[in-house]
Amino acid sequence: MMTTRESRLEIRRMQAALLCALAIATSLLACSSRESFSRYDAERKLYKARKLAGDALSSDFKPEFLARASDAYRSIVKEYAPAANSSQSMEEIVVSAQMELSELEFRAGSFREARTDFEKAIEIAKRTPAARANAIYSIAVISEELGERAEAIAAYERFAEEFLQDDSLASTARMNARYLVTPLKLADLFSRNGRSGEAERWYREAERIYSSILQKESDESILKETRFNLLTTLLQKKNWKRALDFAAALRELYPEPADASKILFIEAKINEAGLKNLEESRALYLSIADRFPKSENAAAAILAAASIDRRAGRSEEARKLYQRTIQEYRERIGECVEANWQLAEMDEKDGLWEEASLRYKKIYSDYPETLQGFEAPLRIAKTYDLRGEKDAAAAAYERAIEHYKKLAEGQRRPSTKIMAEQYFIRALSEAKRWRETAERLTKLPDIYPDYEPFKANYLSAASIYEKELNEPENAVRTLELCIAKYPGTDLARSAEKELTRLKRGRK
Amino acid sequence: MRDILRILRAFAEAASFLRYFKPAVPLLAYLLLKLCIIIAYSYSMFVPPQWFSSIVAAGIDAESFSRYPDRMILMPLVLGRIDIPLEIILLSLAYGSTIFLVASSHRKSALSVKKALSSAGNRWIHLALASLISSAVLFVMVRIPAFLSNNETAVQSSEKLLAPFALGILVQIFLAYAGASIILERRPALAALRRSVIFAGRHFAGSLVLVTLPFLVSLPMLLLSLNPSAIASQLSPDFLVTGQIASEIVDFATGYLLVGAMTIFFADSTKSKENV
Repeated sequence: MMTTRESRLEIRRMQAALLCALAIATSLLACSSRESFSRYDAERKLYKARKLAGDALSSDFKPEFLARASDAYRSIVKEYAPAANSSQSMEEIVVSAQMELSELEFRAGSFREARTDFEKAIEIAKRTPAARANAIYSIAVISEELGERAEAIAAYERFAEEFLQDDSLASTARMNARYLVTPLKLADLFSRNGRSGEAERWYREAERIYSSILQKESDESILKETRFNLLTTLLQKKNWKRALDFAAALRELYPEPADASKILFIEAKINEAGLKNLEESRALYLSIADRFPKSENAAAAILAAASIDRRAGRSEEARKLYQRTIQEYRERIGECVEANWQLAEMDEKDGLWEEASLRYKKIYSDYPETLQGFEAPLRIAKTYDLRGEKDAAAAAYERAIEHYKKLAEGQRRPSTKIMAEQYFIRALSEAKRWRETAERLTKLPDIYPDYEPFKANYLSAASIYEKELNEPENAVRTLELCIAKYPGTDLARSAEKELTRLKRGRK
Repeated sequence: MRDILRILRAFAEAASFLRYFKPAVPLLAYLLLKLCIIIAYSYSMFVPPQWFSSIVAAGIDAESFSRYPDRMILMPLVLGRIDIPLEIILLSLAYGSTIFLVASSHRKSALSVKKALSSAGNRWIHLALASLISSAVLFVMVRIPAFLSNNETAVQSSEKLLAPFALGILVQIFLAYAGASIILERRPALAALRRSVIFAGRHFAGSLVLVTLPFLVSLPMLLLSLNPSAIASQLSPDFLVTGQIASEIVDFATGYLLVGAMTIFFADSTKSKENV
């Protein structure tokens, strides 16, 4: 039995032991700077944001998943951006968060939001050249996607000024060899804008940059990319002779099948489109298929040779080559469906309509998600119509409408379903089923709320009610619905204009 | 068969002592210590010096301990290495105290936790030495499958994995009673290890059940801890903390049952010189 004194001593010993343990734990917990805690916390949040981004990606960018991921990235930037100014490691985390947010938005198709966020990334990434380069270049690419050439030019020029000077070329090439196409992009954009002087200046700049890299660089992958860029420059300048000679030299340097077949294809294309040596071109195309039958270009090469034969009036040779494409390259869907389409067109031209229509049917049943697969049902119906076979045309339109309806309602990618809806509308309108067309047009914006072009369907539907069905009151109702749904937008303003015109007409 | 039934009854009796709470106190204190270590590792930003990293996590830069999720992914490795000296120094003491407490509960005599700790402390050097020798033998057995699976195809490595794994179980069976012999018969470490081997040989079937039953209970947690990187990428690195805590709780439960059942079985089978 313990005495009271011994018990008290025992309790004091245990208290002392506990206090020691607490002191050790506290000093361990305090054994780190505030910055370490902060950075660790930021890393943890970035990890979680990446997981949410992964969820958004695997859910095909469902709005709720995308919003959660975006919010996670934004909160990291908001919380840690002030600390990024004073710490390199914090800047890297904040810049990563901003860049990943921008890339996520880009992949989700929210181009304008992505561009805005890439602009923000440039402001934050003062000490991270790789991120700055990526952000500026991405702004240029997005502007091109949006068809905003002036903005694209401004961004590419900014990129060139910052990253394509003589002293920064090598490091830029190492970041990403694809950045080196910037002068070509600028030349192409100026050319399309009709500013040939500026285009020419950038072609010269491209040649200068590539020649400089070829003289100074030792990294083989960068040298290869640069040589192909130089070839592209010559092609875009339409300097065919020089391009041909350079391509031949490249074939000596890169004899592996993957490269050699690609270069040969370019040479064949130069002869066909540039120098108009069609026979030489045809021979080159066929040599690709014979020498490199397993290469990516082989099927396309046979198709190109067949196209030359067809244009030269050598139908039998063309048919044989199209058949060869279908038989030998079944896995190359794009080339096979094109070969089938060409054969169907040739049958049609030769007056073999039954064979042609069977081929078109095969195209849309075997390759429903290709462009030709979408076009084929309407092609059949239209041809019956033009031939004056009204009953056959009506039946063909009915089959086309059912086909597009099934595609739109099935378990397919959103892009396929949207395309099917567009063809569905086209089929209904070509079959002059106006009421169904108008009703379907007005349903689509609710079924696909994120697809911008469908919002304008209200205007198309109102036009059908007015002009085809002679129902101005339905046209008015449709326009009023559009204005109520999209207030303050350009679409609403157009609808208001139409509404005013309609109401004036009714008076 | 009789031994198997006695072992199963011993498990049941050891489990029943938990209603008195006292027999589990030493192992519970050890569990609390381990939980404190896990929490300190997870929530402090303590970065160990490079020499520590070299010993505990060879080939890993000390900087990794201040990065997320590297710190979390390294946790099972680091805590596993820290376990080795902790088990030899502290767990052996906790086991010794538990043997005293379970034996006294089995004989329906009263013994305080303090007295059990103090008595186990008197035998500590032998407990620690026996633990060190057992750990060394087991360490060698565990290394063999890891070495073979790095150098063989998947099919061959799984076959070769079974043999050393079975050997590891056998080692645990034959050395299981060393602690009880040190405490109850007051033998020194080497003699207790010899005694354990002879005793286990005589009661092999029961000893096999004694060792494998708790192992089967802890198997899911063992499998979960095998690839922390995969777990971190599938779930979350923070889940590794939960996993580690769950693993410690399972170890506590299986450890108590193993020691308790072993003590009761050994005490009943021998004339023990328990001198408390």
